[in-house]
Amino acid sequence: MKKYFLLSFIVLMALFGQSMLLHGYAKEADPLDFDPNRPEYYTPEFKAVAEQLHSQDSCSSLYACPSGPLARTAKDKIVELLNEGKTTDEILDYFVENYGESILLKPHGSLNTLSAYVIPFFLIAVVAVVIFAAVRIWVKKSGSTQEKEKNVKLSENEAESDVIRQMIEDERKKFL
Amino acid sequence: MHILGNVSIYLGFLLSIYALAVLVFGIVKKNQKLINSGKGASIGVFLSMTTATVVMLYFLATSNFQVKYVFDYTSSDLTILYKLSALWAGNEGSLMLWNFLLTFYIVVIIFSRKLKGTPYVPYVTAILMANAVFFFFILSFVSQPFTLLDYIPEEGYGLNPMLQNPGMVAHPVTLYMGYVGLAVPFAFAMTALLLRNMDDFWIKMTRRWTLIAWLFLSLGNILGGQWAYVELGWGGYWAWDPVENASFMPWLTATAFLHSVMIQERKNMLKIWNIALIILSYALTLFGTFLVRSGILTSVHAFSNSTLGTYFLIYMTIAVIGAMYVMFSRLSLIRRDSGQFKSYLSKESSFLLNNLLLVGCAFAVLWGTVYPLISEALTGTKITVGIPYFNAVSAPILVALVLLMAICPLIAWQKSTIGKLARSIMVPGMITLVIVICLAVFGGVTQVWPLIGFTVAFFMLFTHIKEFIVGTLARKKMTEENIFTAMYRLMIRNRRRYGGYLVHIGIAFMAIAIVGSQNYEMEKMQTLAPNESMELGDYTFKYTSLQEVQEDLNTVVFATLEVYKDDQLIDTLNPEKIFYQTWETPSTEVAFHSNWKEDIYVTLNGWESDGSATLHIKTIPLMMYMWIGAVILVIGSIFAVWHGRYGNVTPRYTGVQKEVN
Repeated sequence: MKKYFLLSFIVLMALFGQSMLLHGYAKEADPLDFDPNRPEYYTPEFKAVAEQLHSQDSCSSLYACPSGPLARTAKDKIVELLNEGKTTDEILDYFVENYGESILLKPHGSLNTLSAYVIPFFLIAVVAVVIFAAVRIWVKKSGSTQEKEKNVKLSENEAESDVIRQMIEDERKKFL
Repeated sequence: MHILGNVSIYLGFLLSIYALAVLVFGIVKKNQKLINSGKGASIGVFLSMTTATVVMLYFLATSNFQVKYVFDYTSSDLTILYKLSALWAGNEGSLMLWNFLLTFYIVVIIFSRKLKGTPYVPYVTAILMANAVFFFFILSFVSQPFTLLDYIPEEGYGLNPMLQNPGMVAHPVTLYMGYVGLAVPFAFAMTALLLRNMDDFWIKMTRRWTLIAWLFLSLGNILGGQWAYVELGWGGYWAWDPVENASFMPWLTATAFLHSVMIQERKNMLKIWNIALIILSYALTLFGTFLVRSGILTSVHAFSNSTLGTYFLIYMTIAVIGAMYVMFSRLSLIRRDSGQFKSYLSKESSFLLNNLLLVGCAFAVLWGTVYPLISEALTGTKITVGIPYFNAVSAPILVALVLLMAICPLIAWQKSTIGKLARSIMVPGMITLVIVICLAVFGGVTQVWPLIGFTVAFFMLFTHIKEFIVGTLARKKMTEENIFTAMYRLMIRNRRRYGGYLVHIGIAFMAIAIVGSQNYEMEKMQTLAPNESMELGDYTFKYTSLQEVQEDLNTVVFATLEVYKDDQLIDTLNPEKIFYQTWETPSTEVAFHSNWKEDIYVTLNGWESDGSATLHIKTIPLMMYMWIGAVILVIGSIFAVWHGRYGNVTPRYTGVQKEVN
């Protein structure tokens, strides 16, 4: 029963991780309100593009990063391309063509990129299985050699047990 | 004066080579005189490095701009605190700080009372001295800090305004203390292997030094996050920058060691694993330094024009290969595990899972950090995975880790049962459930992932509070002490356990803040004319005026913004833009209002000649708990590492007696 508990815990964690991945844990940037100086920076079309691009500063995306000359240059380029009637994908392709795929916050879902996301979870799952197997061997070994020492059960709660052990130890030191 | 600085560096280099040589010869020849000479030389090395550091601080304080480093990183208008803190603003200065801390740790070990008479001292000193030789070599021949200009400039280039913040005074120092500190447990681990002795003494000393390094690493990361939050103006505290990741990875592996070493203490198991974790933590600190100094990855923290990457790469390779060689050459010694697992459900098993998640998270962060390099090498295209990757991959692992942290204290050593565990989690689980239902019903927290995050964090908080209560009541019952005395004595008699619990509680607070701030932040950017208002959340912001003042050489432009809640004025905020005479880019100074519920975070983005100002306002929920949690974490770490009358007795060294000590 206990080993199944442990195994299900591991499996649960792995599934949990993957499901979070599939649902996209990362929060999208909240919409910014209208700024009369740059209304073109806050259109839905602009947002769709800018939220997928890296900022040059430490912001979560180009969209969330309103200041800085580098960000402004990139934003103006998006506006220019939107005005030319380019679609989101076309604009993103333009940025990838000019700056490489590293400009994308979430690179295109190629096999290469997918492997970046999956490999850590895959390795954790593999190591979890190895750990489970090791614990299984240790538990079996322990069972076959029989417990020689007696584990005196002082209390069901470990914190309580420790307090009692501590008190016994203090008394022992006092009198012996 | 600069000659004194240069001579100190060169003298330190020669002395460090001498100290390393005589210590190694002394160990090989078992000659105490050579060892004593090596110890004396090590003290000389520390004094040389201290002299060089003091000379540089003197140059910085007196604005001697003929010294290139002083010219590059300071200006005469800086306050004395920031002039001095420029020591770690640049490449050469930060290397000096690193080496100063390293030589300081060496002296601490030489004079350590606990190590007196043990054969550890010459080994540990020699290993750390090998590190010092490398840094002295760099300071002597590659990055010389006392280079003079051919002329005497009237004014310096100035310190980056972003570094002119109290957080930046402390953040690099604490982080370096953590980084350098991890070299000490590494030296202890190598010594234990070389001496073929892995007794309780080794565990105690290694664990203690790892905890010290961990404390400083935690403090460094927290202060870095706090600095980013108050100084950078984007309202975040962690951006998954390669260099931030580089300090997070050894923190994760050192945390894993601090847990797995308990299995070694109790069961004499996982010795290879623990040694590997120590080596890994140390290697990751070198890797972080390599990232900062090589410029192979784009980072806001990287030192510009640094060519030290190759040197660090060579150094890191030698250190790791050497350590692996020592470990594998002693494999038969450390494979002798005597312990056994009695149950699938036990504290031991939970620590194994904890290690899996911590090291798994470290791997995920490493993988994401170096992925641009890997993808470029394999496909020719550089793919930066960015923040979405780190959030998507690390967040679930960290949530699982927090859940494990919640359950782990309730599981007994040796053997537990699901029934017992269920009984233990009943009360904290019920309280958590009530709180989460309240959050969902009254607090508007209805999204799945924030709910999971809050549930796990609150659950961890309450299981730990329960542990404190149960322990205190048990002691009170036994001793009839009053409740405060019982709790105090309970804690001081088991500093390690309750210090660790305090750290966990601190992390629970931080987790609550992270979930709140990452999911429920609101922001609004608007251009307002004087006396015009805007609303965000429960607040009304009235912009009243824009003013300009001269502060020393700098021009400060600030807006005045009145904050109202329920028509009551609660605060007046002044977000600023500062224009420097000695620095091209102006800096943004954030204005804050903090309360228990959220932070109001205001930056001044721009203004027009008609007096209108563009303001960027955010409300960031629960941020106060981030800093409360950080303080609790630090207190818990100090409590765990601090000497007390009880419980922190270092076992006597019981290994092979060498003829030198």
